[in-house]
Amino acid sequence: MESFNNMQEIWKQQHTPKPTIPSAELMAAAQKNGKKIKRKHVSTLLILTITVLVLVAYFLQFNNGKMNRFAIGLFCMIGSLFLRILIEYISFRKFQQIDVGHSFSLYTAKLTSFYNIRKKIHFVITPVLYALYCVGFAILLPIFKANFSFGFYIYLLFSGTGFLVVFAWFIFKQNKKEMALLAFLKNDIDTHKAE
Amino acid sequence: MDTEEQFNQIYTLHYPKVYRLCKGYFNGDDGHASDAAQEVFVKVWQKLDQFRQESAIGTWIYTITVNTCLLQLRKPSFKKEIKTEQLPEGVAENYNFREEEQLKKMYQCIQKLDETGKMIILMVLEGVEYESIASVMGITQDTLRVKIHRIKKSLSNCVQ
Repeated sequence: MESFNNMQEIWKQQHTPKPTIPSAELMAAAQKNGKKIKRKHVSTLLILTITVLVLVAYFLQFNNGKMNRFAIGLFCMIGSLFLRILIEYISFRKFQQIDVGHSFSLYTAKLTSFYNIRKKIHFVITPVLYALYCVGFAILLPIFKANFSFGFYIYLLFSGTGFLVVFAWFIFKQNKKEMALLAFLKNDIDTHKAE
Repeated sequence: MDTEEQFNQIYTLHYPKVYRLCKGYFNGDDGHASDAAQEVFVKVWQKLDQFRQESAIGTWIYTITVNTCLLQLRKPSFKKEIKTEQLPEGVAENYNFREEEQLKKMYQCIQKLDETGKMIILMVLEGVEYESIASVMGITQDTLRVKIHRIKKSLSNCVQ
């Protein structure tokens, strides 16, 4: 192992730069980041609460609690979006709760479990919610056509479809990235177990 | 000693080791190493009051470092393909050309190891005690010794 001891010497002698950020600045950045995460939590909860309140208020006030085509379409669209945001919010909270101070094997196991749940979300729940959103949109289209000008109807048709395409692309990208990481984690843990 | 003062000491004392470990993990890439090292100390600061002193502070910091480096892969800006030619800039002045070449080779050979092996050998190179490494990795010392023996052999063969 003489050659390894030599390597160790070389390793330790290599130049290491001093910290580029003073500790005070780092502490301030950490505190700022903590506040930013809290703000994000509060604003997400606020959006979700407002969505529910608006939906319930609309249903009781304007529809007298009756389920007509318009209410069903609207509920499908807003409901699927609401659930999607809620799932993302819960996922974010769960991820934040994984303690980075756990040992590497426990940490990777927890990460793998987290991304396995994300996989189920991506492959089961998201397609259902996406389909629900599309159904809602399809239900609303004839109502839009009958009640709005042709120009505005075309605008709604194209913007709605555009949103669906962009949303699908965004989900696909996110899904691809997370599945690549899951594959990497599984591979790493398998190696870990095998040895 | 107040928390800020304690953090200051931790930062000054442990930064070089954390930086070198990250640099080794990211194939000598200074940018990624610097970003990851900063992120490690942000987490250390945020969780310092939760540190239960079940292990030495150094072991705890290494655990955070290892897990943080792994998580850098989540970031959109992270490019997994780091150029293999990219190499440690600014080696110490008393370095000779042969040692510099050997260091380059070491970085390249470390990249060929699996993630677990990479983390373990980087800590061994830093001179971290086996007990601490086992605790960081969450494996027994016996398993660790077997792994280290295998990694050292593979690394020595690769570098020569």
